[in-house]
Amino acid sequence: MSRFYVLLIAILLGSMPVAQAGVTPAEAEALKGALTPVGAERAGNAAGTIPPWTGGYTTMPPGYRPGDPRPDPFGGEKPILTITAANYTAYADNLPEGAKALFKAFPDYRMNVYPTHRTAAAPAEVYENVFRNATRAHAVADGLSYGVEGAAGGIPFPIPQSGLEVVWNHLLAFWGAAREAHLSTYVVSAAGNVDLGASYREVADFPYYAPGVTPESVGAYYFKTRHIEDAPPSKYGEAYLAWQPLNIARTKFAAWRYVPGERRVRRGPSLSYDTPDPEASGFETLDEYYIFFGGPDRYDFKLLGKKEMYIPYNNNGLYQRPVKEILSRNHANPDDLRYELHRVWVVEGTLAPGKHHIAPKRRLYVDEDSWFAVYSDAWDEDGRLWKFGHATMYLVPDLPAIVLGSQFVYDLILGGYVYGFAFNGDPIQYKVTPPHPESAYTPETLATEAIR
Amino acid sequence: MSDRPQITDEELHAYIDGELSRVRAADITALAQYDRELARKIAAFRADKARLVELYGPVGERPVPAAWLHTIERAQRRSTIWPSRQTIYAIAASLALMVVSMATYKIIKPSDEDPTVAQALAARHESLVMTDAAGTVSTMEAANHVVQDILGPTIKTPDLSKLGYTLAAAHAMPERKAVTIDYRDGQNHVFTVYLSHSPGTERFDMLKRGATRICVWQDEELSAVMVGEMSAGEMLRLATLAYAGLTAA
Repeated sequence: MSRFYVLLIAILLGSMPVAQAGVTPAEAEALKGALTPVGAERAGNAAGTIPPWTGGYTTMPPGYRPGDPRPDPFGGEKPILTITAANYTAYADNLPEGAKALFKAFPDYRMNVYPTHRTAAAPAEVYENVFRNATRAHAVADGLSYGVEGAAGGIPFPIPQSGLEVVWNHLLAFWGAAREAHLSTYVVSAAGNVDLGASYREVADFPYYAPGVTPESVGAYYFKTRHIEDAPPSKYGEAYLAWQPLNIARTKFAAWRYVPGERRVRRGPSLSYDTPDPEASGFETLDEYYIFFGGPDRYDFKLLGKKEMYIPYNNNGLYQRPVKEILSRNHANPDDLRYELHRVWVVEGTLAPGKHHIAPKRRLYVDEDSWFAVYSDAWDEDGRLWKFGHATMYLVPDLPAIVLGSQFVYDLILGGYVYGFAFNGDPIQYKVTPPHPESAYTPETLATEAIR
Repeated sequence: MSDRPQITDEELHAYIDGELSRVRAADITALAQYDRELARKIAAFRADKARLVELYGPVGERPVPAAWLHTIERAQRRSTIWPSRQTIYAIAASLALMVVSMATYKIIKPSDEDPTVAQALAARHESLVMTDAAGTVSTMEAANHVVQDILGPTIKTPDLSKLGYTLAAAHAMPERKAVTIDYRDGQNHVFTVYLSHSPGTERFDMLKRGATRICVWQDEELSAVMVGEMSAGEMLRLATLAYAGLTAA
């Protein structure tokens, strides 16, 4: 073959999206050895400050009923370290940029660090699926920026080779197959005023984790959610429906909104990417839900590596505190939050060519055990550090799992922050349920279920 | 910082070339009478166009390159109908003009090709210039009437007082079936909401033109383009409050 044809073929191949595949069967065997069933390092660290993973926390309190508030199994512990504005520089390498900015700005900001408990767990079926996914998961035809195929029922890339694989693991992390909750979003202004952005009844399903699911049966959408608002009065009866696709090049994100004044369901606007969250008064964008949510295609994600960081973890105590106590001026009340030292994957996204986003650069910190992003830093178009996303990590032994939980999003430029997915004080908290029928997520049901 | 955004260059070139609708062209003619900067820009673009014609205008009269003629004649030999020599010259001249036009377009092509944004910026400009014109209202109640007359009974004038902005003026633009609502804050910063019927597609975009931030937020029925000189964070908060207020109970 002439050099010309070789070059031509190379160019053509280079211009085609790469169908990234999983690891080899031999590599996947590590999930039964040095790695945990979901790909974390099974061993602790050399210093002994991170213990080995021994199966996670699966102990149910006696007499537990689904939806009951879950107790804090580590409530009796005392902090082993307090990071403050005075000493944070000594721990700078173990902190996200957003936390450093809060230390710099507010002398009373601090992190109480407790002993590390590697509580992450999952059902056996999820572990089996992760093992299968390791060798079969791959990018969709348009590339991994647009979706994943060949995987179901567990994170797709337990031994990640790229930033996008880590991002997909976060997007497809295990929250259970379905849930019901009553959630609230609070907005704290720079002046310290607390406003209820919205309270709503949420029903959510993860068809990706439906019992017995396979890559062939999983369907087009991995996540569906329905919100019906009951407060404040100005939002009473508003409702939202959203379906998140597995292949965003083939199946578009779908969303509907019920407007009580019109008594009808309207399609869109697209509740995704940098559209402001209507429930958070524009303090956060919709892809800041769950720290990072929706299509990753607007960014080129690069895997920066793995490191030990102080992250929010096992925060069941937080959900037992009253909101009034948690939401102090400038930042959450440090006494209500628990931090632990864990290993996280660090991934950085910069704006992809031809795409736009109001935050052209963001960095995600993803817990190795649960695969949830626990922090995000985001920069504005002038390169200023702008947003800081902060998960809380809620231990749900009845799944069993540790899930992302409620979250804070700080605006480091204009001031103020949002506390979202809050369920403090609600008698039914994050109720794990069997999957809901598909009819629960139709626009017709949205109109029927809406309050007025 | 100026509160007055510019009409896009694309729209001005279309205006000079006579390609705008009669209504829009009349708008710009009227605006140019009030706005010295706009009038100066129109004059400058007209002068540029004249220079281009001066530079490339004689191309059509120049002799056609021999190689082009040879190609055209060879093609014609295969044809049963022989066009006249003048026709050949005309084709060649057209080709030459096409090349020149494409090169010229590339040079003067404006960056903003978004008609939704261009229309909103022009409307904002117009509304700021004509603050005291007939049809301008400045109370919430009157603004609601204006909005509902044009866009339907379920749409309301958003109340932005929570973020320090009060209604300055609302203008009906019945020929475009649109409404412009201007708000001002304590420092006299202007935030404009341009409302019209949606072209039927969903859209959310945040754009920047110099110091001006533009937020396009539309569903299948209503299009809202919000404009102001502010940071992305400020625009997010204002746009969210405004958009929610359009359909508030």
